[in-house]
Amino acid sequence: MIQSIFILSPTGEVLIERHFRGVTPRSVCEYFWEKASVSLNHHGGLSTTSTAIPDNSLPLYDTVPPIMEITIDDYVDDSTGHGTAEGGMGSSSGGGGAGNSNGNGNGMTKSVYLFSILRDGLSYLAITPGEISPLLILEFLHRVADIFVEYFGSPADESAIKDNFSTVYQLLEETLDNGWPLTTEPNALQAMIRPPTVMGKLQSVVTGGSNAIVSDALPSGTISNMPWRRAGVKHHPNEIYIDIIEEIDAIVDMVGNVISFDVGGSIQVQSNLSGVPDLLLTFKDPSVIDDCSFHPCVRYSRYETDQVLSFVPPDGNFTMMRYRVKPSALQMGFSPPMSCIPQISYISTDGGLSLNGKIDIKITARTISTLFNMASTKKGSVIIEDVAVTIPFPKIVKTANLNVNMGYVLYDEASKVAKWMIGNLDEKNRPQLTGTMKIEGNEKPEQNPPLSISWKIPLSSLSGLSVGGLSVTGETYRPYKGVRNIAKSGRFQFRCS
Amino acid sequence: MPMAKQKRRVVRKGFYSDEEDESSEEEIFVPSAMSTGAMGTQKRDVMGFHTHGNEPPKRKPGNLSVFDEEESLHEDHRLLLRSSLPLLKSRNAGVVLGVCSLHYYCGVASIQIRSALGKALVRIYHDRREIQFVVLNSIRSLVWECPSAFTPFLRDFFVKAMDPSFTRLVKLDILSALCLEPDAIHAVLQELRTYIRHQDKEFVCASIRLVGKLSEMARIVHDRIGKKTGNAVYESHQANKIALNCLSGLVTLSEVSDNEEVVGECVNVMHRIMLLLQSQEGGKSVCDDPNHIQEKALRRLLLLVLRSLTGTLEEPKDTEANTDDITNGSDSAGVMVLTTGKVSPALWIVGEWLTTNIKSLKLLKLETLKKADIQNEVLRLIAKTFTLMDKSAKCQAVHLASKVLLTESSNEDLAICEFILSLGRIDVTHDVRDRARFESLLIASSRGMRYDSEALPTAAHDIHKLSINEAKSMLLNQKPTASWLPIESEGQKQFNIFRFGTLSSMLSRKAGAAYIPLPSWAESDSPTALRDPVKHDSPPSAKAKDSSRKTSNGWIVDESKKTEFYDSSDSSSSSDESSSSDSSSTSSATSSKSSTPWANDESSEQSSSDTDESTSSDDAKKRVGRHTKIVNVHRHHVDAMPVDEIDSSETSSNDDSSSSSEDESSEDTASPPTGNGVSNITASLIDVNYDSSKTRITHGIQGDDFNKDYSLSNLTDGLEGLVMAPLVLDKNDKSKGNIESESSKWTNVVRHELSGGLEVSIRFLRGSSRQNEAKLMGLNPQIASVNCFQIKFENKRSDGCPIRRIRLIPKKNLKTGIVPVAKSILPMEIAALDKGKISYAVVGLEFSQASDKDGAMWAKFDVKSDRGTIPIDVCPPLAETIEPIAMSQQEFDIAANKLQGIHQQTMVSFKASFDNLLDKVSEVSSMAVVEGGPSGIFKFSGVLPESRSPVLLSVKCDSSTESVDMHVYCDNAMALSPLLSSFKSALGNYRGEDNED
Repeated sequence: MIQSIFILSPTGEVLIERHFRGVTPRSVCEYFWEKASVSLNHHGGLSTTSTAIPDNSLPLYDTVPPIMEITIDDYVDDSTGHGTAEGGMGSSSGGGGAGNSNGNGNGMTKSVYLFSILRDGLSYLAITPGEISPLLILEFLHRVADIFVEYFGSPADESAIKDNFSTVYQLLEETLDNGWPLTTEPNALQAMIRPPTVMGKLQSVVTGGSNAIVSDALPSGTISNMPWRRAGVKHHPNEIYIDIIEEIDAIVDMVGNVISFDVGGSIQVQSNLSGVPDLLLTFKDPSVIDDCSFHPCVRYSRYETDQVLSFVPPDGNFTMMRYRVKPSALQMGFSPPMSCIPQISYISTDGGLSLNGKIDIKITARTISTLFNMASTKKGSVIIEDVAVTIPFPKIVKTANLNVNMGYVLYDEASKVAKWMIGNLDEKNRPQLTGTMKIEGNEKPEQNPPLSISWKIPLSSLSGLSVGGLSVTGETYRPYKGVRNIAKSGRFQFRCS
Repeated sequence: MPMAKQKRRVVRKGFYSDEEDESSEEEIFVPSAMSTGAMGTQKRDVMGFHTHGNEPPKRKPGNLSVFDEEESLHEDHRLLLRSSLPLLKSRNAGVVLGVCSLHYYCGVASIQIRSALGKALVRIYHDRREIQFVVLNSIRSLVWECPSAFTPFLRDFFVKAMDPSFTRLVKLDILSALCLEPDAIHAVLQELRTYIRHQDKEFVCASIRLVGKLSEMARIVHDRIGKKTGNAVYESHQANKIALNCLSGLVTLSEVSDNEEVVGECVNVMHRIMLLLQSQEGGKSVCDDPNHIQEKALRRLLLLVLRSLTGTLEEPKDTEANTDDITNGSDSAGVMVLTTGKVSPALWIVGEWLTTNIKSLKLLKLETLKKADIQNEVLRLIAKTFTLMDKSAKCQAVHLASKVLLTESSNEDLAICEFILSLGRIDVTHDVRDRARFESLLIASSRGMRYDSEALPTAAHDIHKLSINEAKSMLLNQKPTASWLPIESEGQKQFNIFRFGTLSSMLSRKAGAAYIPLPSWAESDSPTALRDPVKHDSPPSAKAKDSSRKTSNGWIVDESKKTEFYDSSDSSSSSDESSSSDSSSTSSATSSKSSTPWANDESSEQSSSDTDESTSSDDAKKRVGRHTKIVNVHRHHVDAMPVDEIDSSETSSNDDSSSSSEDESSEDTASPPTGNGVSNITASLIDVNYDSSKTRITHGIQGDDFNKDYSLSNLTDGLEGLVMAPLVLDKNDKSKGNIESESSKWTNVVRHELSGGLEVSIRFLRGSSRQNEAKLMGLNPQIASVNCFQIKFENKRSDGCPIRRIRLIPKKNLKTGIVPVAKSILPMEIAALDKGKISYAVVGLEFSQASDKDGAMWAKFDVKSDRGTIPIDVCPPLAETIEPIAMSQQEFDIAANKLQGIHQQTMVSFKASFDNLLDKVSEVSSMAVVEGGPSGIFKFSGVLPESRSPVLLSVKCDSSTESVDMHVYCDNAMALSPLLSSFKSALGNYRGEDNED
């Protein structure tokens, strides 16, 4: 079970602290932060505020494993902060008995286990006293973060938490019961805790009171047949939007060969339907789906027999399905929709005493692509949207002076990461980044870190999976149905050496 | 594939129940629970690879195919495995990992299942990075056992730029285990080229080690292929080429890298690869090395050794004798020096080269230097720096010295060697001293020390003289290749001390006291009693609790059948069951239901009657009726026992039973107020309808039958909201549940001859099961116009095909004069119904108003399936809609006296069987029993649904003429005749099975 939950800000400050079974001293947070901050990229001004940067673009305290063993003093100290954390990192420090507590005289210590995840710059920490399924905790923490996003919008970052302290505590109260996960369905939660609204915020500013108002209505959804759907949903325009988003993870080497790639898709649904509609979604070519997982609302047996999705949707946004595309469906392989030619060179100046670097990145859209074009009307040129290049510089780079002919570039001195937002890209424009770097010392870096490129191509698909039809039964109205395909980059990286 | 079909049967339940995170927890603990559980005997070697030293008892050595093997599993075990498979599709990674763990430790080692597990694991591995970490760790423990499950996903394990360090190393481990084909080796080596330039030096070192591992794997893989194709020479050539390429890469890396850790690792691996290349040749031709990579490597090693030795020599001078720390960073001159730990392998390979068969190698560019000169220089440096070396290097130095001593060398060299040995003999470390003394003695007793002889104890000379050749064969022989690969099960030991996927396995140490290791397989089946629901003792205080449970069971339509499922599936084990009831008196729950009711010993009868609510003689009689029925159903081959005997055993057990049940027995029939008291207790504990509890008492018999469902209902109570779709059950289930007695009899509405094989029957629910079902469906059971009926779909197709997509579509009823349906709650569509299977579902109907008119409430449906559409009419008869009401005899008489004339209708002396009269009346109506008399007079009471005016029924049996007089009283004259006729038809209905006495 979960003993305590902490949420730390990007600077290591404890934002949320909630104890479910006894009090865990705050020193565990200090211990964690000591470890984490060593390898932390100070992403202060850049990533937490700018939504344009996807949260996987920055490697953050990447040396801290998500599971740690920490030894704390056993005596429970309510004032916190006194229990000194003398931590032994799990496997490496073999010392200390494997037992839970090794009491000798007054120095009682015990081990607790710390699970940590990082979402939107916040560190979510969960402390457990002993053996537990690690994925239970990690999945739960991610679920909590998802619920925050659901409530406070994306990104659920430090400011969102700070604006909604009371709602956060209410949510934690409902999601965990005596340390065990309880209600984690956003729909069920919304029946109990009202999401913050503009009106509520305004009210709180005026009255100075708390802005989280507990819903007047008692939770009705908890005893319903479907825990994921609220009872008595009413929408005026009944509409449902289905996005088939396919992401490609790929490694492309210097010369443009794709070393490895992997296509995964997800079906995101935004459902605004009244009553209890029963939907049936059919695919045009379901055979491309290799392995999949479903939202609990999908009837698995129907999928197994007929390869259709039959479901009663939750209200609001949800991920209905995740799937991996069969390798055989991508027989012709994958050619990236753009090519990237990075050139990084180092010239020693001052007679070998100092070193200067030069960087030159050219990006061009490619005409030949293995994408399926889902927009039947428009043939030919594909517009690649939201192209952004992340350039991590070697640590020895002191400063970099970068110029671009398209979009804009941000350079973060602390983390030595440049972010080049190109925007839309088609065959006509040829964005180029040039720049110089000042190097500390006079040694060449062994490797140029690979570039990550994110992009999005609407109305196209990597696998060709598309919706054949969507029918509604159980309700009389005819909803508006919107379906679209999006192909986008997942972890898409170009190696430059 | 039979598997897939079987899966479907349990799919829905399983799938919907994975809703919350807790279920993952449940799943995780299942393996241990199950393996202690009830499945010993049939579980032979279910896993080819049981890892924990708890070898499964191998009963039969049979080499069955996978499916045979699965077939031979215990029923429960197989059910568990099959029903857990759909959970692999869960979106919760924890659930998926739990299922994998279950199948790994308790499952059958079949290729299909393995690959399904692998696929699912790879899918959840593409999740957030923290989850990735856990999943990768689990994959690492699995991959040694079943690499085939993961080989298709080799490229998914390539390290990406954004991978955090904690996953990078795990990925390397996985990659190394997956290189089982030349293509894979090639691809991974290609990748490693990128990895060795990574910024993270630890990762680089691990990558270098992997290079060494791969060059060894390549040999094994190619040897295997060579054996297969018969082209062994070519294949070993290929393997050598890979090894040489690796070596060349490492030489280059050791030249360009400026990190001593990396160079040290290179030296380590180079030494191993060279050894590998040398060792395998043996008598064969020297491996083809056109580019003289081995020479280059050797030269590089030699250079590094010399530099390190000179470096260690010089450093203390510079830094004023900080002698115990001879680790030197990169020299100011940029000369790469080996770290302390890495000197020894370099020394060793140099020593091998100097003394043994690597002699054939020639140093191209150092030709000016003779080998002897090099040897001399190396020895000189060793002697000079010996005291500064670390332990392992000292050992190697001693070893090198003794090896040189056995070869033909210059006198100067020999002197230095003996000096080194003598240094070793007086070293501070025990290990070095031991080795030096051992090797000194070896030398002394074979060729004798030339310069240093007096240092050794003289006894050594006397003991035994070794020949030089013997000594040489000890020291200078061909060494076997050191292997990187885990020996036997080293890989398992490393990762598999703990069950994978647990917190302890992530930390490699026991996390808290809560870790439960995997228990060994049970030697024998655990008694079936473990699977039977727990019977609760009933002290008077627990009584109320019991009854409250009773009302709450029957919530789920299927639960009772589930018990039944297990029971009936044990068709072969009737003796087993009776023995189990002997062994534990608490397990007798099934016994009353089991096939041999008369075989029950006293104790089981007693305990079942403990929880009986009403044990009046009258009820006992009824029970006899029911029991004999069961006898007929189950045991046609046994002659029916005389009823009297059963009766007597029943009554005697009643006499023996505890005081609580005797209290009860007096309560019911005699004094209705006490009955009310009981139901009041019930009502106060849980919020049940007063009427329903009354009804239950009226149908007293049910308590006997339904106690057995307690534990199941507790279990399913937790899942009740999650079960949406009806469960498909085996045909041979005889459902005996709460619903069974709280409902009318089945009415066939669709005959299978007309519908292409689909038979549909319905029956109306009453009392607490109606309430519960209505509540579940969100209808208000207090409203009389709410009707629930259970619908039964049965596949009776002659061709044995499944019927797909069975669903119920409501239709508008356009007839006038009827009450339309206001709301209907329909069951989920049934995707497929296999041959001979039955599916139950409950349909809720809310009519716009209640009606006292017979046949006024009328709903129309279409039953649609892939075989066509059949319209059905659902029209609850008036007798069905009558609600029971409690009444004392006096009240009954008063009310009956008021309702005379037009309000009374009588049917006199018609022929009827009056055994089980109560049962028969309850088949058509749920009226409450006022008097279920031994005197032959039965009185029932109820109210009409709409007007709430009372309906009274009195039946007088005349046993001499075998006829009955029936009186129906009701305020509503219109209702009288339909009621009377339905009661009459119920009583007049002779059924063969009731008639055997």
